[in-house]
Amino acid sequence: MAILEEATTEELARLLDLFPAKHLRQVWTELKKDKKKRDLGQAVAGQRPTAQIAKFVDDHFSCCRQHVYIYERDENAEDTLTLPKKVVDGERVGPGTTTRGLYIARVETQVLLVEPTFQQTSISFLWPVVIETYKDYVIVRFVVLEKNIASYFAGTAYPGARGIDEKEVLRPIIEGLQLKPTSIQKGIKKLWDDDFMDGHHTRYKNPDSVASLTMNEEKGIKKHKKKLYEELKLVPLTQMIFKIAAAKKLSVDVFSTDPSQGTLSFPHYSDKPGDTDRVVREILRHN
Amino acid sequence: MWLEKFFDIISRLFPKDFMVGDIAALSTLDPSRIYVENVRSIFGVSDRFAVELLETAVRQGVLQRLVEVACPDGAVAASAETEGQLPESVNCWMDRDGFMEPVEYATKDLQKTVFYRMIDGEPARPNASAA
Repeated sequence: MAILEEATTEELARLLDLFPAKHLRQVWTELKKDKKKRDLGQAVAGQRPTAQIAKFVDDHFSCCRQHVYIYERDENAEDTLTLPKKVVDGERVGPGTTTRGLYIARVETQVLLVEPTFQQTSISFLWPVVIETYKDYVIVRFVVLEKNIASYFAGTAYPGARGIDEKEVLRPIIEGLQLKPTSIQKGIKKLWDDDFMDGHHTRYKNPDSVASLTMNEEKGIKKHKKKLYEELKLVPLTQMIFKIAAAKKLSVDVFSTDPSQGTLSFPHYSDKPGDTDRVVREILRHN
Repeated sequence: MWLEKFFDIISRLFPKDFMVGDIAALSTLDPSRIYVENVRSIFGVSDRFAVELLETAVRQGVLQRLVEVACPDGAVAASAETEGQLPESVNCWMDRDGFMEPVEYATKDLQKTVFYRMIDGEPARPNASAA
């Protein structure tokens, strides 16, 4: 866990910033309700409870905004799969299990400060990544990092080049574990048919074209355009945005996906740990 | 029913031989969202003329005027009876590095479009100033 132990207090604070304030308060109950979210992270980071922070990140990873990549093993892959000890610019933290590992990578972003003085500087973030196996699949999840870099600076700041991105982290994982992207068309279409969710945006392939449709005011395609829905069941979907049915009582309300590439995005925080995991598992269970 | 009332308004207000519009085409419109261009193109008239037809239908209590706000990609984010009743901000979906993600936009910065909707039930009492 050297990456956490050697991290600066600011890096630890920015790591905690990635999580809903509610969960920080649930774990660190001594935190005052009137503290702003940034101050919450700062207050915890100042104490440097690195083991507790690692556990907190692991337990609440599923509540964050995430990008999820789903792979299957290559035909030539070895029978046994061992999760890697580290990732690009990062390492595995916490005990984990043989089927799930939490990794923290360090990402440095260049920043150009215009005010109060003109200078080039950088800011680094600790970036949580989870690699896990489920049935025949390997799932790599990334927490979506703060996009508003300028909010960390008092003056006017413009973000520049970023150290590493998801593709750079994925490449050695894919090569090392002998993975290939998997289609989740079957799982997605089964859940859609079962009314687990309804889509309001679609992009799909026709024999001689690619077509897209976005419903007004995020109305559901299955509910309002039955004929199109029946057609979509039979064609490759390449981009979908879904709203999860309220009846499922999940704290995750929406996700987007490219079913042809096995990728998912959860763009909002979710209240209950495990809810985004459940969506991924349901898709794969029916795939 | 709304269609007959609408067509009745058109034929009462304007000379029949001027209107070469197709009632069959009019019947294919979704009465919950009628754009000015739908009516303009069916009757082959100017934009202003089409607006006049629709506004007459509003005064006659056949149609209701509403306004929608659209995301940069054209998707309708919200609609309301007046621009003032639209939400101050809306979420629009953008492709960011291959993932669709919601981005908040101030409604005042987005394009608004007027549309019309059939009023359910009996039309309101016609405006006395209508022809």
